[in-house]
Amino acid sequence: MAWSIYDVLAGLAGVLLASCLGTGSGNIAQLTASAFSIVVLGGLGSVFGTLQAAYLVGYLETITAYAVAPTLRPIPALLLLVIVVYVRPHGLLGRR
Amino acid sequence: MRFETRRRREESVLGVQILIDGFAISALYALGAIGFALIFGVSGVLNLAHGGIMVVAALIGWFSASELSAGTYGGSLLGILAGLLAAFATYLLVVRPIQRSRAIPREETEIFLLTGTLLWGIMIQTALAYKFTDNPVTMHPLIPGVVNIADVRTPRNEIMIAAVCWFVIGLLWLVINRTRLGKTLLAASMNPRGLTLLGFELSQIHWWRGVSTMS
Repeated sequence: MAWSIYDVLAGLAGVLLASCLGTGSGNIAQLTASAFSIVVLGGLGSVFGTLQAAYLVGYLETITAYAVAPTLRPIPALLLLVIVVYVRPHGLLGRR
Repeated sequence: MRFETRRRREESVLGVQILIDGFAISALYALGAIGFALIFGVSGVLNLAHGGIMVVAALIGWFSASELSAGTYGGSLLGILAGLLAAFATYLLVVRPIQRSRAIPREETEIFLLTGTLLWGIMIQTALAYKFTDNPVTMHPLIPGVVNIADVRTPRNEIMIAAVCWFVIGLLWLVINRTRLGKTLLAASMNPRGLTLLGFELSQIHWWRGVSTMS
């Protein structure tokens, strides 16, 4: 059943993404990296942390896209992930 | 002086634009990432085919809407259905065989799952690039038109997408925290063995554990 919920969430997110930003097979690695960053930054198993991390990553990417270059948008979030994994391996809001 | 005023105004508009776009994109990311976290909570699977599943839904939705004349809403529904099938295929063909394999030592299951889902994601990417294209595609907006928010022309579609994402996230939260089923799941995440002693079928609940551990 959890996989069913996941299926619907991932499918819905994919369709909305295509309608909002546009996407293609070249974006697959970036989308996985963003989800991975969000879940690890938020702390694995924390829904509140996941939401906060999603907004942190989303705004980091948006600012990078507008201020630097759209193609570099995933870089700051990945750098932040590396720092957080090193300094706070349980995530920004995860349980120890 | 006039140039300075104009520059400040452009910066202000850009700031609002970033706030609005960032809000919608972050809501989309949250929706996808909660599913990703859910699966980790259920079975410790970090599904590295996640992006592939999202793009399957996106491309099938776009293809159905534009090439098969299913319309934007029909295409969206077909896209969600395709994403659902892709995720089930990931579970049935990759995750479950690895989890049930007796040849894989228990302590190595996670690394096999990471490798398996990564390779599966690459296969999905290659198949999609072959069938469709590497270039990004955009579906027609579900709601046409724009509104002005603090001098920034914002597509209604973008606002609707953020609202849908938050609605679905809220719905999931309500199911977990306000329903009998959700409370049972919460209990299961805290003490699965105790729940088994009370007569609940753990294999059924196990599917749901990830939801409850997230709350």
